Amino acid sequence: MASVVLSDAEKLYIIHGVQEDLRVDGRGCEDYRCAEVETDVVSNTSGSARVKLGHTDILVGVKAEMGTPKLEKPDEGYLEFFVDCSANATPEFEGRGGEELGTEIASTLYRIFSSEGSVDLKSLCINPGEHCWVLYVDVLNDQICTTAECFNNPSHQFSGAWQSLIGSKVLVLRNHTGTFCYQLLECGGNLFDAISITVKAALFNTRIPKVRVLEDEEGSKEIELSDDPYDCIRLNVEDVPCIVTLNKIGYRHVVDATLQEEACSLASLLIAITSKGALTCMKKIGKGSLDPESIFEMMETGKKVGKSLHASLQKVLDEEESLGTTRQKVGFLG
Amino acid sequence: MPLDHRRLRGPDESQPPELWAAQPRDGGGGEAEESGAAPRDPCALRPLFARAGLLSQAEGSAYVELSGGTKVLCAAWGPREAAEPGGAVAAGRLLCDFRRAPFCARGARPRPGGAAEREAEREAAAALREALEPAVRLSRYPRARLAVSALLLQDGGSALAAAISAASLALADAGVEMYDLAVGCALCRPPRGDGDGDGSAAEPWLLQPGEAEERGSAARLTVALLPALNQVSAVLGGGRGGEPEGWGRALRLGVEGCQRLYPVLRHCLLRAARRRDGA
Amino acid sequence: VLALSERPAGERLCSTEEASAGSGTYARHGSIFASLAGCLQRCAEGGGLPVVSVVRDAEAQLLPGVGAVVTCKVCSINSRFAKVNILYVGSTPLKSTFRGTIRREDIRATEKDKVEVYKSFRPGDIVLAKVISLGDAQSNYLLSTAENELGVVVARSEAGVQMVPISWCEMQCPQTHTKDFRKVARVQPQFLQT
Repeated sequence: MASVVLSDAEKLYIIHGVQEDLRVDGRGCEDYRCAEVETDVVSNTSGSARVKLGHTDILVGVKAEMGTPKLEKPDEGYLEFFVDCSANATPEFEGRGGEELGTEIASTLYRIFSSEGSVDLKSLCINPGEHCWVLYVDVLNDQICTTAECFNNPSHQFSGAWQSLIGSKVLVLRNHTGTFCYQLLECGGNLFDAISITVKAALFNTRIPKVRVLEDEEGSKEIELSDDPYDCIRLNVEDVPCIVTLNKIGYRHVVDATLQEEACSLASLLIAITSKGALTCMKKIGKGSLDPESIFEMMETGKKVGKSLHASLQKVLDEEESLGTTRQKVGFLG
Repeated sequence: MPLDHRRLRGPDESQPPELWAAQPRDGGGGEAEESGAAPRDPCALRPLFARAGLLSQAEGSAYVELSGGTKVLCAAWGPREAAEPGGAVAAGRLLCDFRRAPFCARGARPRPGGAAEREAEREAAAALREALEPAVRLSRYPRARLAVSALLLQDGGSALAAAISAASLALADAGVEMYDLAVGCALCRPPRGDGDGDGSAAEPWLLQPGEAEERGSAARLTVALLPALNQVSAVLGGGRGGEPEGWGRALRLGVEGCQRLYPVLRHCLLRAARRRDGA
Repeated sequence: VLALSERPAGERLCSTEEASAGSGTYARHGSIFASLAGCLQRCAEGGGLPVVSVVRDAEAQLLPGVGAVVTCKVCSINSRFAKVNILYVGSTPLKSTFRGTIRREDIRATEKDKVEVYKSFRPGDIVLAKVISLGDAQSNYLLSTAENELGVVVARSEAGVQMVPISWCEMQCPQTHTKDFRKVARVQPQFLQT
């Protein structure tokens, strides 16, 4: 994980502040930073979203591909996650460090989305035992300066890729791959929460084209794609959980920690909460340990914070949706 | 072994027969299995056998077996010079390795070194490291690395929990300075037959589930505790959503389970120390 | 010294008011806990609190610490430093070797600018040195021989015979009588075995 170097005095300042329910940026212990959410930012995907939470900037793109269902679950589609952290985001991502973080993020996402009920996997099934939608999730971590200067610099190895990502308007219906592509643009703490919010927004935005299975007399099946590009199915994201990370600092815990606060925290609890307040996943991360009582407290806080997070996210998504095509796209330079 | 593919025209892919055999049983036999499991006391711990210091080549080692078939063998190596300079100089690093024997699980033998297998092992190793790091006094080993490797010989449920206990025993047996032993305990919540989301009061979390219980479970949780300090060093769980209070109860039950397991591990460590001093 | 029964790691031994924490133990929340699995020892020193420690019969997992005198073998030299392998800490052998560096300016205490590494050490020499730093992210253990008691203790001549020290900076081969330069350690008499 990206880290900052803090002196003991700086750490003490943060810890004492948290004890008084006052954080360096003026928030209380249970306050989130202001998050910017934008959906449908990359046009050649089935769905995409970008979330900026403080300095943490994440882009998720969703695409769709047809595959065969898993043997154990012939009537369900599935999601695939792939996290690739390159050294661009922070130097810590270089080599093994990025690989480890990527694996950790991917395994946490798998853990959340493999639990029944988070996404209706049955709706991804096209033809039991033979065809289903596979949602590949590629996570790429790059820290790219989002300033125009960097973007216009032709020597920047990523500028070309970015221009094509944003500029091209090719609607790809090739094999309808549902590929999620996470781009961690900037790492400013609270990575897990930001990623989960972005995933939820992108899933909300995802449109999978409708297909029909036609069977002729000989029993051979044919899959027909609807002619109308607007004829598509949408995922029910009501039960998709969001991750709330609670960092233990001193005797208290904070939500949505900044990079500096993360450096002061030895252990944190990561919990996935659905909009109804049900807990689907929990995990301790970090070098330290927690006493049982504080875990219970953290779970309570997590539930409370998670529910309000879901409520405000849903509100923002619905609002944006209602704007339709009239919406002014902000993109990456906003 | 080289196969003559011109003579043996098998299908490209094969599927384990259990997959197909299990399906008809779900209707009829499933209930019998369930009713057989019903009388089980949810708080009952499976008998645990632990022995430390049994490998001659490793500096510390431990073997943990849960009745019902989980068998884990751990070896630990004391401080060595860190392979690559760099990183934190002030504290040592704990390297954890988790391997599953190709024959450890039911069903088809996974290809050793296959992508899925490697991923699962890597995740288990990371969980093991998270659970053990708070227990080891890494600040006593500047510029050095400590290594633990766990080998899962047979997976009969609660494998990660058993591996955590075994690995901390192995580290203690190697003479590594530790704050405390880390004791692992697993739980699972069987799927409820009647409706979802109703009264969470009677959510029956089972302590130390067996392989069959784990496979059919709706949610799982692994807890690791440092008993003397009463600190939880690992919490890892997921599954079908439930009220946080339900998970809280499960956590409490798991912590209790760890406390009940601790005397066994403690006794095992004392016996190993006595044997070593006597020898 | 009173050896009591074996204790496992993590067991609470006593309160910090009754005793002070020795090796193999740590203090937390006003109590002393064992951090090793071994025998409990309680040493009462005149007047002060007794010191509790937990010891193992098997040799401890030792690491070279700052200030420790270590025995090492020279692997390679160049004009700026000598690279060594640390073999012993005090009189305890290490289970694995640790690499260390003796820089040119740490070879002797006086006239540091006139020191030449190849006139002080040769690969294969056994050297007594003191750990002065654990080094930083780039370097490994930094050692010094800038004391009379530190330096080369065993060296072989080109003929393969163990040389005899004749001064603080020279050793002689008993067979060929050739003289070689070394930073020779004046080994304390109590450490010499005859």
